[in-house]
Amino acid sequence: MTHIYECRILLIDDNPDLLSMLTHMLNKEGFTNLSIASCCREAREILAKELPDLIILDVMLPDGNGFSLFQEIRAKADLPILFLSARDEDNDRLLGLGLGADDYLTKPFLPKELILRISAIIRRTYLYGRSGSAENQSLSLGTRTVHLDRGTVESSEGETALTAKELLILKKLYENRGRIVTFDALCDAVWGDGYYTYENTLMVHIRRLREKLEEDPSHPKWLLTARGIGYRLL
Amino acid sequence: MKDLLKIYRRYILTAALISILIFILNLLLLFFFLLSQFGYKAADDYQSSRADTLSEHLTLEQGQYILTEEAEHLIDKDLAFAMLINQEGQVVWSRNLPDDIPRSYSLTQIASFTRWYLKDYPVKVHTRPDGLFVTATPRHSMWKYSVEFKEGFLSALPAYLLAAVLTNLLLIFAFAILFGQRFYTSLKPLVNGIEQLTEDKALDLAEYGIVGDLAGKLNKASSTLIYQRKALKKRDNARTNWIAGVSHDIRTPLSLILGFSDSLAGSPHLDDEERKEAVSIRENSLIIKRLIADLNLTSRLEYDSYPLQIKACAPCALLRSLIASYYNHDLAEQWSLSLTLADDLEGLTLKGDPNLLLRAFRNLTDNSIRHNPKGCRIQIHGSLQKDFLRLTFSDTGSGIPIQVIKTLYRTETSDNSGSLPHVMGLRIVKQIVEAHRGEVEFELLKDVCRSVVICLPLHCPPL
Repeated sequence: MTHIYECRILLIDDNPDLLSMLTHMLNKEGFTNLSIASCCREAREILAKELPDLIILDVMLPDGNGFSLFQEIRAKADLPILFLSARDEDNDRLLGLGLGADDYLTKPFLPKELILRISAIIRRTYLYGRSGSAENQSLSLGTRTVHLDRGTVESSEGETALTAKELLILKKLYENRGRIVTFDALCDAVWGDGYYTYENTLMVHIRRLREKLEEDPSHPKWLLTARGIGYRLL
Repeated sequence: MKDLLKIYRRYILTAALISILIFILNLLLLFFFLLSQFGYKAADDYQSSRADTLSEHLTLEQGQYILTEEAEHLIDKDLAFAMLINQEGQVVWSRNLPDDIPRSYSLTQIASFTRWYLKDYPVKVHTRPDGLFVTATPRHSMWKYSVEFKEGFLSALPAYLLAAVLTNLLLIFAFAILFGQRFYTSLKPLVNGIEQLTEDKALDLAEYGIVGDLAGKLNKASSTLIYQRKALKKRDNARTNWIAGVSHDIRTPLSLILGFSDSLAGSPHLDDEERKEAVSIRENSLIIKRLIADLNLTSRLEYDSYPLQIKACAPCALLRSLIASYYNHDLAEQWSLSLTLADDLEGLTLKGDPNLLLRAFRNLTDNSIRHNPKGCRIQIHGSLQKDFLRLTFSDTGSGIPIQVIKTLYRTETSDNSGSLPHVMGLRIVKQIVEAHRGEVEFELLKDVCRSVVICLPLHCPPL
C-alpha cells in the first residue's frame, strides 16, 4: 500500500442507513475499496473470501457480540480494527481497547473525526512501517531539510547532527505537525514518567533545536512557542 | 458504643449523687429535729413543769405542806398528778392523785416506778431531804426508754459513724454500678442495632426485657428503612438505566443526522441557504450529542453509578492539554485562552479521575465560549492554597447570571422547574468537583458571576 486510499475497509453494522451513510462518506473522502456486512455471519463470509486492511466494527450485532467477533478475527489475522459503537460507557471502551482494538469511537460521531481516525490508523499500520515511516522521511523547513532517518539538519552551510533528545522532540512535533504539543506531552515522549522535572531541560533542547532549524533562532518561523502551553511545528 | 458508655457513666453518677443528696438531707432533718427537741426542753413551760422545779414550790410550814399557786396551776395544766412520799414510803402530800394510785409504797415499788411507769403513768422523781417528789404526766403521753452504752463504745462512736457513712457511700456506688451494668447490658443490643442501621444492615433484635418494646420498634424501623432504600435504589437504577437506554437508542439516528447534515453542508448541489440549513442541523445535532452525554454523566454521578478511574494526575498538564485542544481544533479568533500557573503547582499531582476533571474544566471554558458568541478572553489561573489546588476560571464576557447559580443550588423540586435556566454543564462541574471532595465557588459582582473557582484537596482521596 502506497496511499491510504488504497485501503480495503470492511464496515460491520446492523443499521443499513448507517452503513449507507458511512459508504457514502468514505467514498466521498476517497476510500473506494469498501465492503459491508450487517451481521456476524455476513462478516465471516466476507472475511473467508478476502481479508480487508481495516475493519470498522459495531459492538451490538443481531447475531452476536462485536467483542467476540473481534477476538475471532484477531485469532486469524492481525488486522487493524476500529470499534464504532453506541455503547459509550468507560467499561465498554476499556474492554474494546483492552482487547487490542486500534481505536474506539462512540456514536454519534463527526464524520471528519472518523475519517481522521481511520487515516491515522492506516498511516500508523501500513505507511510508517514502510517507505513512508517517520524515520525515512525528510522534513523541509524553508531552506533547511531535516533527515529524520539520519538525525541531521541540512543547510547551505552543511549538515548538522541532532542529538538523540532533539530528534525525539522533533519527531513528536512532526507527528503532530501544525498542532500544539504541550510541554508535558513532549517531556513524556522524551523522558517518560516523572517528566515534570525536565521542563527547564526541554527549553534548553528547544533553544538548541531552533539554532539548528531556524534562520533566525530569536524569531522562529517553524518551531513556535505556545506561551505557557507548549510548542508547535509549522 | 462510646455514647452508651457515656450514658452508663452518667447513670452511675446521677444515682450516686441522688443517694448522697438524700443521705445529707436526712442528716440535716435529724439535726433540725434534735435542735427542736433541745429548744423544747429549754422552753420556760418545760422548765417550770420539771419535777425539781415544782418540788421547790412545795414547802413544809407548821407541819403542813403548802404548794404555791403558780405550781398548782402548772400541775393542773400539764401533769396528771404530783405527790410527795416520805422516807417510810407513805404519801404525805399529793395533788390530783387518782384513786387507783397507792398511798404507800415499798422500796421495790419505788425502785420500779422511778425508772418507768406508775400504773401506766409516766413519772419523774426528785429527791429531797424529806422524801421523794413524784410528778406524773397523763397516761400514754410519754414514751420512756432506758439507754445504756459501754464507755468504750461511746468513745469510739465518731469512728463508727465515719465507718457507717463510708460503708453507705460504698454501698451506694456498688448498687449504682450493679444496676447501671444491668441497664448497660439491656441497652447494648439497642445501641448495636442503631449502629447497624447506620450501616444499612437489617436488624433482628430480641424483643424481650425492659427494652423489648424499643427493640421491636427498632426492628420495624429497620424493615421500613431497608424497604425504602431498596425502593429508592430501584428507582434510581431505573432512572439511570432509562436515561442510558434512551441515550443509547438515540445515538445511531443522531449519527445519521450528523453524517447526512455534514454531507449536505458541503454539497455543491445545494444553494447557500440550503447549506446554511444543513450546517444548522449539524450544529444542533452536536448540541443534542453533548446534552445526551451530559444527561448520562450527570445522572450517573447523581446516583453514584459512575466508577471513578482514580490515578495520580498533574493538574498543570491537564490544563495545558485543555488549552492546546482548543487551539488545535481551530478556536475562532474572537476567543482567546490564557493560562497562568503558580510556580509551586508545577510537578504537583493529586488523586483523581483525569478524564472527569478535564471534563469539568472543559465545561467551564465551553460555557464561556457558548455564552459569548461575539468573543471574549478566557483566563485560567492556578495557585496553591495550603492543601488545596485553587483554579480560577474567568472571562471578559457577560458572566453567569445569578439566576443560574440559584438554580444550580436549588434542591427542592417545584412546578415551575421547566422555566428555570439550563444548568446541566455547571451541575456536572459541581458533581465532579464534589466527587473529588472539592468545592466550587462562584464569585459574584453585582448579581453576575465573573469567575468560578474550583478548590480541590491535594491529599484527600476522592469519594
